[in-house]
Amino acid sequence: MNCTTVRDRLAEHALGVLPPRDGAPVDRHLTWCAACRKEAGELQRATATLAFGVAPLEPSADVEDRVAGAVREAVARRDRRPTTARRSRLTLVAALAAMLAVLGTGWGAVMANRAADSDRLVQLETLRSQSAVERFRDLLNSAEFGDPEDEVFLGTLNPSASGGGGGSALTLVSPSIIDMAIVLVNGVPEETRDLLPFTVRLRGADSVLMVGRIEKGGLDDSGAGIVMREFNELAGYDSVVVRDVNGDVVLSGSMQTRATVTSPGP
Amino acid sequence: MQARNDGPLLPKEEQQLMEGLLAGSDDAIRALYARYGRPIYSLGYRLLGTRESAEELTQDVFLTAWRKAARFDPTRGRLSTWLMTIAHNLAVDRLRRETGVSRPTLVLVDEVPDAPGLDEEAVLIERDAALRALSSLTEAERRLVARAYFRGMTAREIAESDGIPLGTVKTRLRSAMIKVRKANEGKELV
Repeated sequence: MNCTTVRDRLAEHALGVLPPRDGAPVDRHLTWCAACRKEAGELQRATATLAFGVAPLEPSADVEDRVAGAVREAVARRDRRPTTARRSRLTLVAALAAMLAVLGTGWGAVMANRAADSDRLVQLETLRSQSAVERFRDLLNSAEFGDPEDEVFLGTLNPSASGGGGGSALTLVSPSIIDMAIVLVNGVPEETRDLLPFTVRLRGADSVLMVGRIEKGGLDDSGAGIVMREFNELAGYDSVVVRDVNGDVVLSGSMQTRATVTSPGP
Repeated sequence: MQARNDGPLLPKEEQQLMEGLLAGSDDAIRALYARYGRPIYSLGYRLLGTRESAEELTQDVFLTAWRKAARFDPTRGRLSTWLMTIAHNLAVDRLRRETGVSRPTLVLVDEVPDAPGLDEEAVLIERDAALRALSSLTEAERRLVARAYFRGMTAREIAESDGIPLGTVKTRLRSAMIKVRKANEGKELV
C-alpha cells in the first residue's frame, strides 16, 4: 500500500470506522512511514477533540468507586502473578474452537423431542456439555498451557420462575493468559425469544461486566446461543445474569464450581 | 501523589499520573477520574444510549488505560487524546456488536445551555476546541462526521444509506476532517 492510498483512508482511520481488512495494511504502513504517521497523528488528535463535543452528563456517584475498585483489583491480581511471559492468546482461541466443536448443537435434539423422553435427552446433553468442559480443561492442561494457577469456574444457569430454558457458564481466570468468559444459553422457549436481545453480564462484589448480547436471530432453532469475551481480569466475578429486552431476568446462576487446572502428574 | 484538579496538566504531570495508575495508586486513579471520568461517561452515554452501558464503558476505559499505561508517551500526544481515543474505540466496538439497538438522539455540546461548574477547567478548554471544530463544518459535513464518529458508521454504510458513491463519501469525510484539524491549529490545548 502506497502513501496516496493510505492517506485516502486516514480520515476513516482517525474516526475509528475503517473496516479491519483496510485498517491492517494502513497500520502496517504507519509503522515505517514517518510522513503518513505524522498526518495520522494530527488527524487522530483532531478527531479526539470531537469526543468532547457531546453534551456533558453526570455519572452516578458510585461510578468513581467502582472504577477505582476495578483498577485496584486488577493491580492486586497482577502483583500476585509470576513474571513468566504472557502466552499467545491464539493458543487459547484454538482450545476454545476445539471445545465448541465438541459442544455442537445437540440441544436441538432436546428441543425437537420435548414431548417425548425429554428428561433423558436433557441428561444426555448435560453430560455432553460437561464432557466438553472436561475436554477444555484437558486442553488447558496440555504442555502449551500448564500454568498451575489457571482456574476454571463453572456455573449452571437456571430460568426465572416464569421462564424456561437453561444454560451454562465458564470463566477462565489465568495469571499468564488473558481471562475469558463463555456463556451458553439453551432451550430458550419460543415465547421468550420475542424478548430478545438478551444481555449477559457477570457480577462481582461491587461491579458488573458485560459479556455480550444475544440479538434477535442469535438463537438457533433449539433456542441455543453462545457469547464469549476476553477480559483483563475476571477474578471475583462469581455470578451470571441474563436479562431480556425489558431488563427482566431470564436466566441466572452462580459460578460455584472451582476447578483448578493443575499440571499433569509425573 | 498530589495531583492538581485545575488547569491543563504538563506532560510531566500526565506521566506521573499514568505511573500512579499503573501502580494502582488510589490518588492517581481518582485524579484521572476527576478530570476525565465525566467526559468519558458522557461520550459513552451519547454513543451507547443507556446509563448502565456508559458506566460499564467508563470502567472498561480505565482498566484498558491501566493495562496500556506503559505505552503512554506524553511526548507523542496528550493524555486526553489518548484516553478519549480508547473510549471511542471501545464504544464503537460495542456499537458494532450491538447492531439493531435503538440509540438516543445525539446531543452535541452546542445544542444545550452551558452548565457552569460542571467540569474542570481542562475539560472546558477541550470543549471549546470541540465547539471550534464543529462550527468549522457545514451542516452536511457535521451530519456526516457525526454519523461516522458518534454512530460508528463506515463510509460504505453511509454511502449505501444515502445512495451516493463510496468515493464521494470518502472525499467528503476527508475534507471535513481536514477542517476539524485546521480549526484548532495553533491553539494551546490541554
